[in-house]
Amino acid sequence: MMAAQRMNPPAPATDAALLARVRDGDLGALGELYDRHAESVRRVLARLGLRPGDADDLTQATFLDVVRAAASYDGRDSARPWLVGMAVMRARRHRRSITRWAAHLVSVGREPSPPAAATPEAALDRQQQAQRAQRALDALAPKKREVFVLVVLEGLSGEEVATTLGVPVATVWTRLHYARRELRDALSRGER
Amino acid sequence: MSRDVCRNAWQAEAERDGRLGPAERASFARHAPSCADCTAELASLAALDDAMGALPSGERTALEHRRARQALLRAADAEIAGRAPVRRAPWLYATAAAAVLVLAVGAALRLSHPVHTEAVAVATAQFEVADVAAAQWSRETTGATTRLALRAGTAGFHVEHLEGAARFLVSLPDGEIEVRGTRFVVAVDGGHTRSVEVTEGTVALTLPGYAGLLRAGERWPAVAPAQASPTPSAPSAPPSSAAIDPPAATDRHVASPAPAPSPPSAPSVSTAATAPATSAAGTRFGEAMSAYSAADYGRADALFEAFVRDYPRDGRAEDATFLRADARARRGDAAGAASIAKQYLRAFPHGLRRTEARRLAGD
Ligand SMILES: [Zn+2]
Repeated sequence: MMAAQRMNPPAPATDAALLARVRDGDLGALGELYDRHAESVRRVLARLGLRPGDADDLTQATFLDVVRAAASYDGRDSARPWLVGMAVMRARRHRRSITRWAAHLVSVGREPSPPAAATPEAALDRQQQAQRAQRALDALAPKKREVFVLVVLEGLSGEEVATTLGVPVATVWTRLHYARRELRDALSRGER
Repeated sequence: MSRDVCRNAWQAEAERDGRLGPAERASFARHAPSCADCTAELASLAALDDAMGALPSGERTALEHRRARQALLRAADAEIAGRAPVRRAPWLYATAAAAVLVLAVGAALRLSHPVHTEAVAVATAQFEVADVAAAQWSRETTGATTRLALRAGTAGFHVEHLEGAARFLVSLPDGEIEVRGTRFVVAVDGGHTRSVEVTEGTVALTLPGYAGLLRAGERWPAVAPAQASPTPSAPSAPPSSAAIDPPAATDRHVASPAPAPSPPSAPSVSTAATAPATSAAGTRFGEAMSAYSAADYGRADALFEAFVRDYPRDGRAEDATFLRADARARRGDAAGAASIAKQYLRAFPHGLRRTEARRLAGD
């Protein structure tokens, strides 16, 4: 019984141990997992294209999923790939919902207005670089974007990403290859 | 392509991703420096990583993280306990003033077939209105309440989750919609609401002869005429077993007319969330948290203690008390930790940290 484990020393528990406690209803353990991984989950969500408020929402939703799914955790020491995987699934669902919304807006139909004019950017160099990178990332198709974000930006292994996304490792590498190619093209176009 | 590139160039990427076997690695390491293609490919990959490294990490401040954490634990607590969740809490990201982002006009929606959107940011609600067809609307903000009046036409709405006491309403010529965070499309014509369609989240819709909730994928009027019109509010406070997302809870969350913002004497509803980030209490709590995060537990203990003394009714007093006990434990002061944990359990018998507190209290 977990409850009998009373005098835990303040030594850091593994994520797996924390998840076992979450499964038994220990909110403190959930809080600790949150402290360890929430910012990383939120960053992944943002890089998958969610706007800040939505990333906040889905971060919370992901950690609530943890409460429901803790019992099925596979016991790996670090839960980060698992959490990121749940966040990716949340992001996919969210995207579908936006797509439906957008499709509905369009289906109701009317003459499209021209897109808002690009604001003149006289911003700092760093900011421009960030924008350039963001635009290139935004232009990637969702599946390529997921792989690029998880492998390159988040440093997960190909195997972890494959498990997370439920695809063969070879697929991860293929998507990554095309993601890189598109990003490089987009960035070099942006330079000109 | 004027010529073939080196057939080993693909290995640059494989090398970068750590998927070359030892022999291949060694061979590529010997080959690459003398091969212009492979050298260029390696440089290009490195440049790509550099370029993408410019993406902002977008981390929240410690205080924002903290508040979101508190909201999460409340929501999780409600779920674990299987009781009707206090649904006000989950969406209290409450970044207060810091959350006032200016949403880029037009950039918010990536439609293949763009419609004009207007993004509006106010202290209380962030939302977008997409003018789908001749929408005539106006906005009015009173305190934490944002009200959009849609007089005619069709508009799409995206409301981001709302902070604490914030409310977002759409006034219709013949009714009203209240939401907490959702996407939906409303058509008004000739002084009447013609349709409401929800693509994400839940809205509470009130029209003559209809009051009920619409959830993602639902629309009013229902396409099928024989609709089981949900009664406006029958939230019979179910002591249900932990159903995931019990409908009654959602009812309460959206449909309840969100009674006045919690009075300061009600610490069970996080007042932390509604306190402006720059308030004295916020600053003080932030200082204590910084000390705690920096593992300066002695100082953290003292600062949290002073915080609880000076702001006993603040929603963060609970956390502060618990963290004092935790700070003591981390310094090796088990007796002090136990004593403060007992204080915590007396003051917050249903507190979110009760499990940990019991452990620290040694019972
Ligand atoms: Zn070569």
